[in-house]
Amino acid sequence: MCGIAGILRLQPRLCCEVSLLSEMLRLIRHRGPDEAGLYLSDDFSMGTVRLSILGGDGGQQPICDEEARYYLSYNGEVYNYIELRKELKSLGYRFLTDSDTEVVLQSWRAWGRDCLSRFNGAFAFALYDCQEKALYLARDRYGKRPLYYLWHKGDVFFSSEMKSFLAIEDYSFEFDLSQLASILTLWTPLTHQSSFKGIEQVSQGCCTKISSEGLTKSRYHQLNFQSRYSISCESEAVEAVNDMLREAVKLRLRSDVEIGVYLSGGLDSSILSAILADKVGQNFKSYSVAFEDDEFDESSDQQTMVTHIGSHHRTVKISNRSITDNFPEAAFHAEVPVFRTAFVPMYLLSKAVSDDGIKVVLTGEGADEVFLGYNIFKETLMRSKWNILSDEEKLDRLSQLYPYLKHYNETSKSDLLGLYQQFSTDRYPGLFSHELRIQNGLFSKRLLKESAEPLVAIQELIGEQPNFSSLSQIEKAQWLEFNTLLQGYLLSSQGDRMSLSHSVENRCPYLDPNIVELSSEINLKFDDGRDEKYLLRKAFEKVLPSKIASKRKYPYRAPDSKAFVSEQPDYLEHLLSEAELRKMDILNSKFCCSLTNKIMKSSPDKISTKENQTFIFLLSLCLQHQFFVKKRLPSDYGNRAIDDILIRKIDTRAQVIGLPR
Amino acid sequence: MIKSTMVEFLQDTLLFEFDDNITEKTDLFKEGIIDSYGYIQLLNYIKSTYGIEFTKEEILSNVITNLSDMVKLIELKITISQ
Repeated sequence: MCGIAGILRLQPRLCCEVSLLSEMLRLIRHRGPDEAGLYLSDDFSMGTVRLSILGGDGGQQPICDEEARYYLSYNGEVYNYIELRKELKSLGYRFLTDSDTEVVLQSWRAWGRDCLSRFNGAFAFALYDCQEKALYLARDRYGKRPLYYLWHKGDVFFSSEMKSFLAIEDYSFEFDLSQLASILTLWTPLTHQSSFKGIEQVSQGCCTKISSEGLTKSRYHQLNFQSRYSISCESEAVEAVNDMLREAVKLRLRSDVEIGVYLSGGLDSSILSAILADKVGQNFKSYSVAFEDDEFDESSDQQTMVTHIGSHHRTVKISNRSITDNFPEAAFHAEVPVFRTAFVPMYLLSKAVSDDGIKVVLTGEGADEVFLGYNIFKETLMRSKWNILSDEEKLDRLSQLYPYLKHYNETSKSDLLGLYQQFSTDRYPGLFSHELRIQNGLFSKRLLKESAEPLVAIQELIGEQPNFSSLSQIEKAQWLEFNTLLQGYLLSSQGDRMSLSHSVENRCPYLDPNIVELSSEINLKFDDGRDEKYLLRKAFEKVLPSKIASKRKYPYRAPDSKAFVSEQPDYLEHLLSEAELRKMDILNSKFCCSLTNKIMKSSPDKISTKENQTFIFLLSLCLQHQFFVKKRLPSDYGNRAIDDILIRKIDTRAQVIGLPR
Repeated sequence: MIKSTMVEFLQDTLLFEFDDNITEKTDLFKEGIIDSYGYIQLLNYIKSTYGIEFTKEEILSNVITNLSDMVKLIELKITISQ
């Protein structure tokens, strides 16, 4: 795992690239504290900070090919690199190292952009073609690793994290109202959004080419629910899930360093832990967060699994105070507005993992999206059949939805019928499954002063999906989850950004492309979707304690506004005073003040989910305004310069090698 | 009286103000003002304040989405009960 950053100069100018690039890398040094390397040429420069996991010294970066045509800075892992190297060798390509970085470079030489669809991994990279004078920026299928770029005064800057752009002295971050309207309404940024003007992210499954001729984007992967698998009966499906997940874990154990696992106490991470125990015995470490507040705590199930697998286990106990103390720095690392505090415990957990000397963890992200674990899928199934279900059937299904939300339990079911009646038909084309979520999001959008249209961006993205209209309502719901919450929060703000803030790489076996493709063939083929993750559960019920195998979905959550009401951290008044809110010209300060007053003066059980979310959005926006727009970094943030880890510097600038430009 | 009480409840609970843009005819769902929790709060408030119950048919047919319809429904229920 690494951080990468660079500059493509399209406007001739005199500048001191080394110091600027070094500063950009310093700001993301947490992603790769082991080594740093630079490549400098007259038009282009880039660098890598490396977390050394695979290939030892052979993985040093940036690297180039024998002809010095291509230079590569690479973040991530291609787990099938051994198989690819074998194939490339058979084609005559020679290798000097054992690293996957060189496999990526040689794959590009062999297959060009088509190499991307061969990679099974989590990656983002920058590749510069000196012959073509073109920069290629690419990301993995599901958006596990980040890569942002910025056009500024005719030049292009890129980095794994936007905080690198703080190094550019004459660049000022500015919130983008239309992006924010979309983000607040859909809960997360879309795959290309950053929340700031001028900054874009390379979309998941895409490759962007930038040169003096301009920018072109090409997509190499689209979630289209087509499958090369053909499964004819349930037992065959169960066996395939079991075999394929075990293989996905096996691939993700390729590492020169020890691998741990995040154990939430739910089905998905318990399965990973059981597979890991089967493969490596009891000699591995597992990590959990526990909460002082019983409403969020799953310690009992975690302990059941630890006893079952015999791992060396460590728990990080989360209090309201630990959430409010660490929210600012975690929000700095998240970089984009967030709607929950649940990313803060993950920030603290990765610190504990890092303190133990562990660099890689397996995590359960993706299982709910792939195998229909979320209640939104059950809800979509119910609402899409609303007009043909009897009232009794509707009430039966409603009783299984969102059991962890208090107002669903305390409400007469006939009142809920009235609510869902509102959402039984399509209001926003293509977004049927997510209309209740959008309803909550529209409330959050009221934080903004101006009313930008919030659904244009998602509908444009849908328009790029060739077969979207022919997908089932459940497939559309999956597609939306992959393109919103999964990539925009779970894999990023709560995933990569929190892990890498403490130099820990997270690996997600459920997002192996083979498993995603298998799920397209078997989901809802042998069950009706009401018993969530039915086939996954069946596939592993024999290796789990029965309590875990039968456990229903319990979403990972953390105390939100009530933590701030109870702890009243010093920064709250400074950020949310009426005077401060008025200074942020993007905000509707009157609404923000009303919301803040209500949150701070009401009993937490009188605060709704949407108000909670909107308050957390507001708080993160205010903090990110301080960090990025005002360039006031968190007081605890102190990445050192990269000089002490700089082990590679490739300098081909004319002035250095004595040639005229 | 019913109207002013409902205006006060809606504005205080849902953090908005009726004005030229949000009128008594505005669909509060479509405007993003009422969500699932707000809807349940609203029904509970009407029931407890006016002592009226809604039948399942009323809930399913008289969907309360704007102030004007809410007030009409409450007045009708009170008249019937008297």
